[in-house]
Amino acid sequence: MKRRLNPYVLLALALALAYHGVLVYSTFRRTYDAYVHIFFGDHYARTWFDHWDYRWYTGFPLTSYPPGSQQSIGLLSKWVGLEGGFVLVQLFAVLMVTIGIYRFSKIWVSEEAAGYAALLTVFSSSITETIHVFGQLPTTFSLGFLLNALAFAHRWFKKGDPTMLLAAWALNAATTAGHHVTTLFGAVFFLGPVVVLDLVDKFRTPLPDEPPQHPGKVTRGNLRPLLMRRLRRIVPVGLRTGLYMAGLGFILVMVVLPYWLWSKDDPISQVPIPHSSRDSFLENTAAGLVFWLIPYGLPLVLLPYVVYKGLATRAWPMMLSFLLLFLLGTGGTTPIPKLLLRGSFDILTLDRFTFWATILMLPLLGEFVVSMRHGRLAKYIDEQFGRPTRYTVSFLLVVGYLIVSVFTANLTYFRRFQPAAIEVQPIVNFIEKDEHWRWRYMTLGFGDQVAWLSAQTTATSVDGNYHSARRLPELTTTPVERLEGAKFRGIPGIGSLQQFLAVPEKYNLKFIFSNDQFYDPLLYFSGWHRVQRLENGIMVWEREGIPPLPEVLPRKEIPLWQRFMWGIVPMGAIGLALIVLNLVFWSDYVQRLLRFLGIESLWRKLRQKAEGNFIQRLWNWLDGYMKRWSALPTNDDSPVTHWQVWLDWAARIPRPQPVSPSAKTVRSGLLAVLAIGVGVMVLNRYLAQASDPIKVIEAYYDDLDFRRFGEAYQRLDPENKPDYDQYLLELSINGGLLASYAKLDAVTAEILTIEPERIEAQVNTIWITAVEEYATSRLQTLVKRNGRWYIEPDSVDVRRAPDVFIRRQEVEWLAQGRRRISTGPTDYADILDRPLIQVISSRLVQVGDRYHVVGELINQSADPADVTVTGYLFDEQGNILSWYNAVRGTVHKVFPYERVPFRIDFEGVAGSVLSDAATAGEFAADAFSPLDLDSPIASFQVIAQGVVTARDLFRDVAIQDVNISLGIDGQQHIIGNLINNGTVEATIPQVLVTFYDETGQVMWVDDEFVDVAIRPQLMQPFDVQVTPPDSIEVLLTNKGDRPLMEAGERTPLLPDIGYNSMQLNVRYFVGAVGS
Amino acid sequence: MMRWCLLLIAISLGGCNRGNVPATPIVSLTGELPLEVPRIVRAGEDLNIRVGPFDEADGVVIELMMLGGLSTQLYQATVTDDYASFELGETATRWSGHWTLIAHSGEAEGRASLRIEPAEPVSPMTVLVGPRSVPLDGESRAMVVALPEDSYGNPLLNAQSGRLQITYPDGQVKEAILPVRNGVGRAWVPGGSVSGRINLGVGIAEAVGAETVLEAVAGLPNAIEVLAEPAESLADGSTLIELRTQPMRDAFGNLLVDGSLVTFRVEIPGEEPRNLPAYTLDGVARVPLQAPGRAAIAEVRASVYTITSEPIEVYFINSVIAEGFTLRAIVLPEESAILLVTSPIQDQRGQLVRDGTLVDFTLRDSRGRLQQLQGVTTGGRATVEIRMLTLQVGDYTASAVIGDAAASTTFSVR
Repeated sequence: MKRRLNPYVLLALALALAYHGVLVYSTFRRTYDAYVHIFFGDHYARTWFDHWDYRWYTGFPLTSYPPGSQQSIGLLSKWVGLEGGFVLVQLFAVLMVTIGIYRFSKIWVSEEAAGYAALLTVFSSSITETIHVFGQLPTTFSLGFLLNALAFAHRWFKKGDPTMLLAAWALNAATTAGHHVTTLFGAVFFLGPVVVLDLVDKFRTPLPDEPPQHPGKVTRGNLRPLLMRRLRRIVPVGLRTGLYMAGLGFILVMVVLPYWLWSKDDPISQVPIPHSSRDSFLENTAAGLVFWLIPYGLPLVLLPYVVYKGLATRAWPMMLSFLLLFLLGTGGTTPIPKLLLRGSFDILTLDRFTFWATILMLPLLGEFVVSMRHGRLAKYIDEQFGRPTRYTVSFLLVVGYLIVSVFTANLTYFRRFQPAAIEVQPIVNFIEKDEHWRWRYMTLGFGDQVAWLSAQTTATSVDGNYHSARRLPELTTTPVERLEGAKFRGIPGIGSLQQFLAVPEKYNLKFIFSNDQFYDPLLYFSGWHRVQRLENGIMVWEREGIPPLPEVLPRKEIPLWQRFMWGIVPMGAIGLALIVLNLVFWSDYVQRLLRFLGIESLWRKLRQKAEGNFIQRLWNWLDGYMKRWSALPTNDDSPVTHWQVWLDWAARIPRPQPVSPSAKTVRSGLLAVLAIGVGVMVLNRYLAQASDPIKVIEAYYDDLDFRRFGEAYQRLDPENKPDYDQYLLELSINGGLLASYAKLDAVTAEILTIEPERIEAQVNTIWITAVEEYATSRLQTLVKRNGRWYIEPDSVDVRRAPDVFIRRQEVEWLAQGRRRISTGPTDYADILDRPLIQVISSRLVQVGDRYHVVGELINQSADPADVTVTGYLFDEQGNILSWYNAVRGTVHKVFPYERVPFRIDFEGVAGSVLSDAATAGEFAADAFSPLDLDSPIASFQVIAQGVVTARDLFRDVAIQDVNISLGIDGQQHIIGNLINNGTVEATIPQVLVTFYDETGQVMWVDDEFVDVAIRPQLMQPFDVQVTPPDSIEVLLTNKGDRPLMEAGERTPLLPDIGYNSMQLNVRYFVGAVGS
Repeated sequence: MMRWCLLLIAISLGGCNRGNVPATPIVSLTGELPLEVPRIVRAGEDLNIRVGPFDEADGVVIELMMLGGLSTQLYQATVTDDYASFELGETATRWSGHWTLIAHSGEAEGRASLRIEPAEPVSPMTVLVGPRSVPLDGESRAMVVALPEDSYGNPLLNAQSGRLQITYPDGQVKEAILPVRNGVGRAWVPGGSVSGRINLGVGIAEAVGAETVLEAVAGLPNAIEVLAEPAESLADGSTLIELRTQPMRDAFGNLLVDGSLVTFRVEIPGEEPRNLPAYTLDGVARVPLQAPGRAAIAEVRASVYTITSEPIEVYFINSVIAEGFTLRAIVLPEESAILLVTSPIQDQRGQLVRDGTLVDFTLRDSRGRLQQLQGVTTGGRATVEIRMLTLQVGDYTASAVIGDAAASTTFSVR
């Protein structure tokens, strides 16, 4: 009889193709992982058999990730491009999962329910999220093969058909090629229940030749026969399971053998990367939404039914697996996952468990649909609430299920996980121009689009988007996934980034493409300057004096056979699996081929021969032995004892009787009232927040932080607020570090005075910037109007600049670079001069546990210089112990005859200290990694080198009204005003204070950023906390230095300050230049 | 089974094809091969090499390998009339340097040395100068470097000395010898005494380079003179006056190079000195100075590197007329507040003070307790708000101070 195809499956496949096919092409660009897999696909498209890619992390091995899905992209990209390849492979994976769910469901539930399960799969929020939010291609790719493999494995266990075994193995090999972890965990959570089910089924099913009689009671006499009888039933399944598992283990190793060899030979010990799926979802509700609530979606309300149905039917092994996955998926919400997983807890991403749990729910959800349509649930609801209620509930469930799916698919629209799409071609053009690919680059604020950029070029980056392959210790010792999103990873993140920016020559890092102005202050004050803004809005930053990459870059080789294996076996496994899946179409031809080659007859002969071989005889003997031992004693007349008492108890529970039509109406009405009541409660809770002044303040600052100026304006006192345009104007002129380059981290408010209609509160805010963490405190007044609290608008700055129109003469410089348009190497004569920089004085000092070199230098040439000051520490033998550049403690762009201070803050490798890693997620931009020295410091050296520059030469901010006073913290403070005499806004000013001793040697250099921008001809106050001189221990002074005592700019200080004199310098970042 | 056998046989036959095997030599030579090679040739000249003589070795192939620092060349010749002759042309001799010639055939091998000397230098020659600007301080100088090469790009390691012609901005021309050592001709170029472009011409034999330019810039200024315009201003905390230097010249009278940093130092009694950075344009540095809030005499200096000017004095006089305004307390019962408002405040010229001018308010109760407040002027008036909640029953005296001017008022709380 010809098999009838389940119509629901065909419908599910069509819907999957239509629904995900339409969506995925527009959503994959905003997902987390899609571009990473595309990048890998690009690698295979360029060099299929090369295991090494230089483009990320200074080079990494591709053998560190199973290549199946990515090689598929690479293969298809020849015809449809990389993006098209990704979309096609993802669609293929979705179809495979849909078919797989159907086949897998049939193991547990009815054919009809399995069909519904396939339909539910299409709109499952977890599948949708995995595809359209996470972009996890290998997960879906391998899951499809795994689910299909289980159906074949189940048939093998049950029937012992060897072709089923081979098919299951082939599909397992493809699963492994796509994602080995799926095979590994799938064996526990998916295969395990199937094995248990088959064992239990066999255990309970008498064999045809088994003695028919069964005792009513287990006695000592019949115990052995009964045990042997059941053992005989399950031994074949057990042996088949053993054989299958052995083959599975072999496949798991062989298909991705180079991966296992890599992980054995080249283990990179890395600090685990924090993942929100390990958080407590009650505290981190956003993580709870993304990693728990959305994956389960609407079926969460059906969880009681699913658990009951699972435990009460033959699906209980699967339900136990589900419950375990459910627990593990709760992350840090309960301590159980950590207890169960122990050390693995910090490595695994626990959302995967939730994903698998949702997959295991699907067969039972299919059963729910059957029950709601014409099963016991339908009967119950019809009897108790009436058919209209059932239809209404069913309708609402279906609509809700679809809405959750559509919402999830478009989640990246509502809540952006990635920056807006970046047109990478201008960046690629820049890299190709003037041989810029000879240096490494880095991106900032690109999100996962960094992978898409990398796929378009062969230029190399120190960063990457695949943390397992990180090799530089600055990265592997920190929980930083990507430098380019360092701000999201607290001090280990920003610390790592600072190191790369401070000593870029170590990594041949010359260009940074920035899409996030948050990092601008850090870049500028680390000595970088803007080159140009590309037509896609990306700002290009450059550092002078960086050597180009060597011609030959290091790589870690593997044997040639491994490279061939990596290029052939995984794709071969996938190809074989596809053939197996389509065997129905090929089987006739294959049989003919086998017949032609004589293999079929050979196989038949072998089987015939095997039937009489030793193993067969041994089995026959064993089976006969067990069969004989299964015979019950002839005198067994034990009475039947009914021991399953809970069945009796369950039977005593009164069943609800059908109710009258009026009762149904009343019940349905009550149900509707309950639903409306819950809605009203939620609304009330929301409205109550508006009458809490503290909440109003928090909401106001939150609105400002997220640039929701309209909402913020609505929270201002309606009787005193300016009109909206004036409000926006006042906000727009308040530039600077906090207003333009900071992120609000925390806001707390404390009520100081309360009047009936007026409240004065102290608002404390903590702001995160790339260079410092700022805590501010200010008074805010709230007034009550019509029962609601409003914020009194800030007083307007009424100061006026002295002049209406300003004339300024300026010197402009231009570094031509190449004077002739040519694609060849730069002419010798066009290479810029290196100005003469003299180090006037330098000292090695220690403050706390940190080493610094402080001093002064002067630009003695007639041209402005871009200066890099490097300090070296040596031991007794003259070996370099450490070296570092001056970053925020100096002025990098130096005018002719200008004297500037420098302070080199030596650092160890960021995050190398365990305590640093422990603070992951907590932001402290000014924290540092202590230096780890092998031997004592014997000497030091300072080398200052410069290149003629024409960029960022601003000196129009002056210092006035300076006073030294004792602050409320008990420390000396230098306070004063900065006045901007120029014609452009000084966006982020920095004050550097150089302190001298009586010999004119620099003792220390303090610095402080001013958090508000200074508009032309206006002033802003500054406050620098003085480092106490007794905390500075002078270790070494360079003998050859010649301090300039006669220089007139120093300000003598009173003896109680502890320093002899001081000098103030100002440098500032101008935000508008080049934009 | 037969089909399998046929398949295997076909594959085996295909795999056993050995391809072309080179022919073995007719005669095998042994021992050392004699080479006739000139010791020195010039780059680009023909080179004739003979290997031999041999007895009855005609037809034997001799391979000749030329090993040099930049390349390895391989040639082949057959022994004819007892010699194998290699007639090599320009391609073989284009790279200068020491070469090792190795001839071999079978087990036999012979070696010889050859030096290829560079040909005559050709134009244009690479001429570099650094630094490209030199301060005229009597000490600083630049270096000109010439890299003579022949037409094949070979450096002339020991070329004859060249000549250097220096044309100063004042038209003065100096000739100097440019010695060449290790392929590099170099010489120091002093800055002279006049700022401007110094043109450098270099020649070695018949080769010349493109004219190279060096910029002579002024050295440190001889003296600095500071001016203030105007030299007297209102002490209103706002007005800007301009500080500038006279055109600064070095010892030779050249104007200081544009962009040189000058620091003005302003000392005002009662506050720490101000350092105002500025840079030169046409020898003059300018910077605005904002008037202090109180009357004072400021002392101003300017310095470049270690050179400092004599100080000048700038006068800042009182800006507000003493007793020139009044203070009023206004009760706002609905707002539960008291406003302290000044009358319009005028400056010495009879004009309203600028918006944003700070006014210090003091509130004193009958027990002498003080409350300090600060307001800013808008339209000449300054206002502060006092919450009734912060006041107790009693009499209060409020005062407002700006510069040397003050006003006060009293009010009672019941």
